Amino acid sequence: MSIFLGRRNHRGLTDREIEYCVLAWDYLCGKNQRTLILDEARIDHSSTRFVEDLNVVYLGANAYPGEGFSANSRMSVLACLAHELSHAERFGKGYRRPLEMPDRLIDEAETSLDASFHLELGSKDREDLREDARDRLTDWLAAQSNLGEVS
Amino acid sequence: MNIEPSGVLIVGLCEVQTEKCTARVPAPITAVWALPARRQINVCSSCLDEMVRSGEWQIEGARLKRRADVAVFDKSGNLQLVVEAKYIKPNEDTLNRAVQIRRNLLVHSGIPDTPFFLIVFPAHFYLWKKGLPDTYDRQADYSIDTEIFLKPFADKWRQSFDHMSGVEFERLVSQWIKDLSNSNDTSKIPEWAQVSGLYEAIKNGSVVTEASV
Repeated sequence: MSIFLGRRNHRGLTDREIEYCVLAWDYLCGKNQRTLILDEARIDHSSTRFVEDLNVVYLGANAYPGEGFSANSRMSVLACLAHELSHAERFGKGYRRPLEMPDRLIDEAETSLDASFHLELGSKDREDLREDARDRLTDWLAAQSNLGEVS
Repeated sequence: MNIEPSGVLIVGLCEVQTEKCTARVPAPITAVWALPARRQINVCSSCLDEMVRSGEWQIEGARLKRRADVAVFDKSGNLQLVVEAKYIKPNEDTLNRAVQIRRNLLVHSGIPDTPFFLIVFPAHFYLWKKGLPDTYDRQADYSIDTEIFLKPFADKWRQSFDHMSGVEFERLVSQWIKDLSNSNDTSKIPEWAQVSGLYEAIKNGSVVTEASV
């Protein structure tokens, strides 16, 4: 299934929801705490994302799952934040992300796969992250095929 | 023991409380199930990591972050030796424990493939030299009494070798490895370190503690 068929939450987060995200983030980071920026979390349609220039993660409305059948849309807060943490960890290891589509999809797929190995996740989260990786690769392959690069 | 994380987060106290615990006071923790009886254990992420690293818990489909208590790089910057130092009671079955720790670290990708891997306990240490064929449960290539090497360092620092924390033990081991690596007097190098090739591999190398590898 394409990740474009799913949709995560777009409604700005409540204080209680933000509190839960902070709890999940602190738990995932353990001893090695990292900055989670909360400034945009209450804004509708805001995005959870890792910002390379600042080496921080912004919390957005889409940290929460939404409607849809894709792994991406149903992924839990913990899995979503594990994905962002993997972006940060991979950046720390020297990986640089492609900025253009469709190649960003490969990086996103690899990041989801990497995140799926976090010790702290339950089996459902692992499965969702791996399925998300598969969906992103499927989309990348489709895009390449449209460009005539994959027969 | 096989463990299955629930993915449920709560604020509470960690029941495991290793030396690296981050939830001795209420903090984010999760519930995991000890299989097969599905007994619930509340644990912080640091203790979860520590329990898997020490070979006591296994989590299917998970990986450890690659970290070494002590890592030794040769003069060219290549990683030659990874050391795990564990301060455990001397009456434990250290041989099987060492194999179990190495196995867990390999299964969970917690250590890279290096020419040498060393597990140090207060009573014994176990050295694996990279070789083919290899298996997760392969016995160590060298098993040596630790005390004659480490006790002089403990005495020098006026530390009781019989009562020290895990962190103090790690520091002691790191100091010993540093001394071994920097020693140019071959008459003082233990025979096992020369025969195994370890000394030659780490000679004048750099020793890093708590390293990401």
